[in-house]
Amino acid sequence: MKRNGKHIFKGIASAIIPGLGQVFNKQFLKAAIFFVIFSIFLGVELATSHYFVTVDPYDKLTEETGELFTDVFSENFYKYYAYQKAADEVDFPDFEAYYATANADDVFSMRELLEYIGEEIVGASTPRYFVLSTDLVATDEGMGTSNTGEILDTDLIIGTDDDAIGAMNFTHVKIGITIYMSNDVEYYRVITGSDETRQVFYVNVNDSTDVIYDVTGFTEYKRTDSLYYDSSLHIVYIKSTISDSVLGSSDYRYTNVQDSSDFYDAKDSANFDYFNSLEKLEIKGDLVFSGSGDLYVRYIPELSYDMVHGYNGTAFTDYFRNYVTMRYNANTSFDSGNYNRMLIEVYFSIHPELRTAFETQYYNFFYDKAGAFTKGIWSLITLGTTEKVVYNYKSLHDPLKSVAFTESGITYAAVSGILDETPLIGHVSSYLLIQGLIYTLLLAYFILIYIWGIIDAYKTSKRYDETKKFVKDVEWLRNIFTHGFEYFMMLPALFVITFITVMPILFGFLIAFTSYSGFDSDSGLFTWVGFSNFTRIFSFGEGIPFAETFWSVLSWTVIWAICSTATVFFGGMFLAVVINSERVPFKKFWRTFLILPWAVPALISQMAFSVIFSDRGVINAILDKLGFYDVFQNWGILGVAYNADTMTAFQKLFYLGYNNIQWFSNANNIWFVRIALIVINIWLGAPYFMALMTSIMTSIDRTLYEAADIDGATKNQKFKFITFPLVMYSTAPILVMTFSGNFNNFGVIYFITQGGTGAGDIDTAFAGSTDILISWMYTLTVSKKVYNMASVFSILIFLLVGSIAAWNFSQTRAFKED
Amino acid sequence: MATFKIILIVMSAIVWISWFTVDLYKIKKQQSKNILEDVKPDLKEFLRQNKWAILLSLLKRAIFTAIIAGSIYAIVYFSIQSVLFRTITLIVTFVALWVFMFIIDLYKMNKELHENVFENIQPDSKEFMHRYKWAVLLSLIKRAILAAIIVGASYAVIYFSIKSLLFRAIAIIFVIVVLWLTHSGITGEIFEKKGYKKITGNLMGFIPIYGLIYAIKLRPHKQILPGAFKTIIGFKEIMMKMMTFGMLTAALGIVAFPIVYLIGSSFTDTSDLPTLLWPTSDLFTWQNYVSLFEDTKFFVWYKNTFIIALLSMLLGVIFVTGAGYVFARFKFKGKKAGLMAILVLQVFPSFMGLIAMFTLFQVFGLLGKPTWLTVLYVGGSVPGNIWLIKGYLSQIPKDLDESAMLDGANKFQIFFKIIMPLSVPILSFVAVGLFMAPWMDYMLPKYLLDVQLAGSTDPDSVQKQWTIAVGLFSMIQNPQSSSYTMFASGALIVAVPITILYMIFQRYLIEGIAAGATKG
Repeated sequence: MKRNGKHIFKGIASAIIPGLGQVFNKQFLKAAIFFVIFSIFLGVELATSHYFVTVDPYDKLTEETGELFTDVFSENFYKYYAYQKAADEVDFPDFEAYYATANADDVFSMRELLEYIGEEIVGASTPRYFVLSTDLVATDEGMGTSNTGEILDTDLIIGTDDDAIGAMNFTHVKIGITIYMSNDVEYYRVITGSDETRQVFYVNVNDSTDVIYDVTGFTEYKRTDSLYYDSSLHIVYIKSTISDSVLGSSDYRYTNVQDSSDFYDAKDSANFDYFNSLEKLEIKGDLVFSGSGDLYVRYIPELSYDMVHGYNGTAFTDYFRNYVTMRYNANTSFDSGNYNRMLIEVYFSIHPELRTAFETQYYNFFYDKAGAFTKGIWSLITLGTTEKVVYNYKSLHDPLKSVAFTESGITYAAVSGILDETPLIGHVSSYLLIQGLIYTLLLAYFILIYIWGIIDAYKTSKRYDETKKFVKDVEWLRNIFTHGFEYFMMLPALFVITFITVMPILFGFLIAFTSYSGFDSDSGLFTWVGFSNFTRIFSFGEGIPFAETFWSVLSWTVIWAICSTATVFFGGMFLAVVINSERVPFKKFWRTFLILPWAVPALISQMAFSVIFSDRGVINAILDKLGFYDVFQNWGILGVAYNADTMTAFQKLFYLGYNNIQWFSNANNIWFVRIALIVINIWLGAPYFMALMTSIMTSIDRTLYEAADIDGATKNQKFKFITFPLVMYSTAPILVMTFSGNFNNFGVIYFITQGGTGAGDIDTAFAGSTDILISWMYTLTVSKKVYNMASVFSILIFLLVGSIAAWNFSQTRAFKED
Repeated sequence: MATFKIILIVMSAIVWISWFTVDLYKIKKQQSKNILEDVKPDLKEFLRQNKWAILLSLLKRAIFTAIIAGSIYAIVYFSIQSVLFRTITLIVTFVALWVFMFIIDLYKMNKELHENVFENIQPDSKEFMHRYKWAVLLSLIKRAILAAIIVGASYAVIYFSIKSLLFRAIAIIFVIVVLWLTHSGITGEIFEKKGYKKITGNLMGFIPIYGLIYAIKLRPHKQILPGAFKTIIGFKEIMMKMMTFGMLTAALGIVAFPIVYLIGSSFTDTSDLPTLLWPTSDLFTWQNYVSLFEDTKFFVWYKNTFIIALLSMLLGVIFVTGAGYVFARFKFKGKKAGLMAILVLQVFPSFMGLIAMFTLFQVFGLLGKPTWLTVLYVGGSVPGNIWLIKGYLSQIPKDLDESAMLDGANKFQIFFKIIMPLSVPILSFVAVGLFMAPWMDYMLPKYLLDVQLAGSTDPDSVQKQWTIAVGLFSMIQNPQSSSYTMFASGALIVAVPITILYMIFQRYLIEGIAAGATKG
């Protein structure tokens, strides 16, 4: 008992500090090695971490290399403001009140200043409806109200006058989009979702519950964003280009926004004068009209769809803007990064919920602070939590963007490089998954070594008890050298295998359990979805038809693998038998020549076949010259357009094509294409088997045949009982290899047919008529980016083919011997 | 029609002469029976004695040949004129052939029945039917199908020969080649029967007609039995010969066709799809090869692929050799597990790692840099190559190692000085495999080397990343902007060295793969 306790104690010692147990065992070198490895582990973890460094999420927003907007800046601004307002003889009581509160702690910080500016801007930019006044001036000063945000009594303010607004029954005039009109009813197009969930439908402009799906025959108005105003009649026209089947070419039409039957076509010369009298309307807001026919402009700052509508500034904000510009000109270390950061701060102060979201999302303990190994494990579990976001603050440009100005004879230049938006890439799940995998694998190695250290301490201690001898360090080194030779030699290969072979396979395996698909997911988030991808194979009739397509592609793949292997095998055997028969002289010549298809690289011949068998290719040209085209045309299987209703069964069964024999583009007779592929594959594969079998046949012992002759066997019997079994026995493993090779024969399908008709169509889940599993998966991965389903299929292929190949391999003598 | 007439006349002449010769031979044989062995009959004497017989024979055979030729001509003529006649002829021929073959079968079955039963029991037709009814039915069906095929094929051949000049030309060439080869085969066998080397006979047989005569006149080296030649010139035998050579010639044509087309179209001057097997003289040009290097980035692709191939060959061999040696020679903890792992890894489709590799490359910014593909090729080949090397090295006897150890060598020395030199064959096999892999790979380069590099001002930067496979396919992929002739020339430049290499090492490569599978 006590004795065991000592060993366990040493083991535990090594558990606490690797190497300690070895020290107790008086094996100092070993202890040093274990400890060093442990320190490397710790070192990597700490070096890649930010445990002891402050991480500021705001640093992710923009690159700031110049002077920051520090509190010094805001203090100095106050001084400038005080001076300026005195000079201009104006007062800003609201700001004074604010300043008094903010400066209570004797510090007027930048953040406090920007908060105030945010409030100021919001106050000046109330969302509201204002009337298109009768004495409109077509400038960028709006109508009846100025750019500085002055609110008139007649303005209807959203949030305050909602009842009146609702009673007015406003209709929004959509500009810059395409309208489909029929019978005076206008519809605009809506596209929702992407890829699998994509839907297109058309909504009535005046009634959003009226939705239709087909606009063939409708007149198409491509509305520009130009509005024209008839001041005397108070009518606004919108300019559109129209195209419909009747009118043909597109032309300009000016349509009354309130009454689409009132329009003028530009090509009617009678209208020229009238158009010239119209004024172009530049408004800051959306054009709307009420149910009673009054025209209003709806102003909502930051409406995003055309980005015309921004916030309004005030005189105070002008001060601020000028001050910034002055400092920019004075201090060349100030750059646009600082400016953009400042704009974002104002943006956040206007939208505090965005600020909170930003701070929680972009300051993640595991992502930002943790070391590589911790982060790795977290990545594997959560696959990232922060979505990407774009902060679009163009609407702040009007009040806050730096503009050049002149004051007291000095011209100050505007700050350049101010951005409209700042995109932030959140966590990218695919990167996290890979990094997680790599670090977890490394962690596994370290843990192995750690456990080895514990066990070693325990065991050595035990051995000491038994032998009363500690293995001296020197001896131990020599031992390693002689016994560890094999491990050293394997090390490079082992390393390579782990990270270049195992890790990608694990990655591919794991993806099948995620939602990694679609064009956004490459740089965005996806999540673990468990086995739901696998059950999709069995869920028929939902969304993209993966289930139906999978089973049909799988069945074709199996048929293809079997047929192509069988035809190639027996074709080669047939050729080998013919060449090998006694009648044939110059066997070597025949063999050498007939093996050419194998010698030519498969890639080249596959591509060549796609050219040879193309619709206008040489095979069709020759068949035409040989007279086959006439025969086929007489039989009605060539030269007629496919018509399922009027064609006979014979025609349908053997339909070849329209102008030419469509070897691989025959959409109506896919079995024709498939059989053609199998036949062409014979050219590609039979020569190899022929050569193989001839060499086997020539090595069969002659005496067997002679004995058979004595027994009176006929030629057929000799073949059936001697040649065939021996050849089969020798080539069986290769047959299995060829089967699994053909199952995954990407080149033949892809190069010759590119998947066949329907490849890439969403209706057939992106699979073409001749696609086999692997070429379908390739399209899914590379073109359509549906990674998770592709991974699911590759796992299934592996299970199917891999087990066959593994069984095949395990039958070989080499494996059994070991 | 004119060609047909000429052919018919020539064939009739041949048939007449050969028939007549057979008659002559028969007469001569009969003669020699009547004369004593040692007196040599001479030609003049022979003619004088048998002039009436000879003349009669000439006339007889001429009439027979004329009748046959005439009926053939009439049948063809009327078949062309009248559909009804054609149909009737076809049906009659079909039925006649069918019945003929069926009766032969019946006869054979009857013979067999007689042989199997005791001589004194007389089998009657009832017994016959009882025993053989299934065989009879089977034979009926078999022969019907065979007759249909023969009649149908002949009809098709005749029909197309009439319709199309090209078909006629091909058919004639085909028939001539087959006849020529048959002729050579017969001559060879005659030589063999007479005790000479068969090969010489075959070569002699390449000289038409004279070769055959030479073979017949040849002095035999060994004793020949009277019935010896029957096996060579029997009808069935000649038919079989012609069929064999026919199939081989057809195979030859099929094999050669795409290759000749590829070569031909690389020399064709057309901006569209070349539709001729070989360009006519006015369309012949070397321009395609020039444009290949001037207008496309072919050279860049070639360079990329070459560098990748070279690097993966060198690095791959280095990584794999040590590990393979260890697995072959030593027993160590985890060996069995390691082998299983390698086996399992090898059967994973390389596809599974594709997405991971893409993401990995993206993270490290390696997308679009061809040289880094080497990493993938080396990594992917490690499991399989370890297996190959292990298999090869396990055949080297362990005694070598042991005697070296007795001499005091340590493990490193053994490895470098003894094992490495011996494993040159398998290492070169592995090296060649590693070298060849990138040339023929499309999936990986298309996915990883087809990206718009951010910040690149070169409009061709995407194309410059490609390897040969991607580049060549891009030339024919897009129907609007394809250049098929340039593709052909590029394809040839890539394919010819590889083909030559494979042809030279074919025996080694084919059996190597086979051996690898069976013997490990």
